[in-house]
Amino acid sequence: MSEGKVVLVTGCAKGGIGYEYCKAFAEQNCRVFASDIPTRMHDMLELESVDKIETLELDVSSEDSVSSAVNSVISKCGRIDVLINNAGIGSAGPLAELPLEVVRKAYEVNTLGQLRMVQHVVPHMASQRCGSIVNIGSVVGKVPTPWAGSYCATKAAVHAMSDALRVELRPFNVDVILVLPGAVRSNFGDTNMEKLGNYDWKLYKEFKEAIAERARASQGSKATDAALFARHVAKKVLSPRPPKQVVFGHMTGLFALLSWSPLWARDLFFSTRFKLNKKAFL
Amino acid sequence: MEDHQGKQVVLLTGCSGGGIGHALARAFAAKNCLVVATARSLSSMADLSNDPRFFLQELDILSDQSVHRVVSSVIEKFGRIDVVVNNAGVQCIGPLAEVPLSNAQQTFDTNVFGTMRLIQAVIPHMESRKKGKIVNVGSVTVLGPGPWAGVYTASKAALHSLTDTLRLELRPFGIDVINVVPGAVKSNIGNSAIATYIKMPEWKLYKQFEESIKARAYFSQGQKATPAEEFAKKTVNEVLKKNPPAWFSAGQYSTIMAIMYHLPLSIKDYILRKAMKC
Repeated sequence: MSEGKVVLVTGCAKGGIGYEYCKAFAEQNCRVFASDIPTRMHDMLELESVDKIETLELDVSSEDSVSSAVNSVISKCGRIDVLINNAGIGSAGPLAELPLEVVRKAYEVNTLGQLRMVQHVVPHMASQRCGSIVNIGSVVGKVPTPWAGSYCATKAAVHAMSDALRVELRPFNVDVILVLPGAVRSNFGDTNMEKLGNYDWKLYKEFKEAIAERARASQGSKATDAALFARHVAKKVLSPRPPKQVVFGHMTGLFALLSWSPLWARDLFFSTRFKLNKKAFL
Repeated sequence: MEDHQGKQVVLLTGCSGGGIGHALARAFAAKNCLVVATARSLSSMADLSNDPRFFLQELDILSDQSVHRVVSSVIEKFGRIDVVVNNAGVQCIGPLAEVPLSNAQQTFDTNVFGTMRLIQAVIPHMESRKKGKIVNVGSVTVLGPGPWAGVYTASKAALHSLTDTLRLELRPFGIDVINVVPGAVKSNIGNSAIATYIKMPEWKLYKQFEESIKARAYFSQGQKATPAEEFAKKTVNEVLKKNPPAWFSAGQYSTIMAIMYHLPLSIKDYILRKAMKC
């Protein structure tokens, strides 16, 4: 049934999960539009050689860029069946000291960027009376962790928006699917670490190692393979009755347990895991 | 510096008359605290101006300068800040597919980034005393986000998330972080939501839902909404405890929403669709 479905994916540079979504949807015979910001276009070169995949420039934080990308998909295919709202950036560091511009930048891409995409795609899907919007959240959107508060908050907002959107788009027969990846192998940890290198914490000097540990936390040896993860999501999204949520990947069981635990138990877990269970230099 | 031995210095945002912040300010004063009540304009707190228990300040949490000015003037006057209550917030009504992104941005600017700005400004001071309480005012809507207020709920979801992280990260410094989660409490939120709403462009896809969208603005302001004074009194009791709770929820619908959080999505969606006529 997925024959010829038109799929638009954001954030598809090599190394990330978006890249694998493109391949997974192409395997299912969809017509895939892989997109990323202009400076990352060269990281999608290999995708272009895959049958059924085309690449295009799309910056989710720019109104003009989103509008022209969506229009170009529409002018080529006349429709858009699936939007994969995948583009996102990490944002690690203690909230007390992370510059507000950095917190805001993560929100602009991860949260507002998704909403901007939704606003441009919905009119087409509503007039078709069908379509699927797939928002990529995270297990940490449900259970926030220390040292990545800014990222967790952007994903918590994505979860809330997706819940509201699912009800609001039902009258137009547009499905909204929230994906909650656990630990999935990608270049996410490396990118986070690179950014962390720029900071010199004042209050949190002695937590430096714990902060770095958090930035790498999703990239342990047991992290789920990104290609495997993407195939699972593509299959669920393209099924005749797609689920409201797809929760998949290493550590999703742990986070499900934490989301049902009382706050004190959650706090105990995280403060032990990330070395917050001591009083600082009193 | 004046002598204010033994009294807790409490700084609150969003204290305009009629709102929850105003009621909280009065409830803290009734508990013998030194209350710094702030709002965007002094005139909105005029009824507190002749009462010596209140130190009134104009504060725009969107401005770095304003935040630093107020924090320094409080420390200069009282020598410390024991409790900060981040109550200032705005509602944003409209379907997500059409709500102007500029409105979404403004909502996050106030509810999330404004709150963070003040928190970042007071932490170094609280850290130096290894003591302090940060109270963030969230919303029960986060426990079951429904239609027509997606932006608002998302901003509060982000705030809940930040509150959880802050609680963990500030523990080593002896700073308590408390998430206060109001249900339906009588306030100005309905009127101010409508004031913003009427300036938005006409809906295209959602024309036929116009009435139910508008009704969402007043959903929390029904006959049975909890009076702000009652909510404020309970909240202040919890906040001033020696070991305050990490989470405190009260007000109409707070129990229902706590149950909603644990329901399967399909049942949640069904209830919210009926309640919000979507």
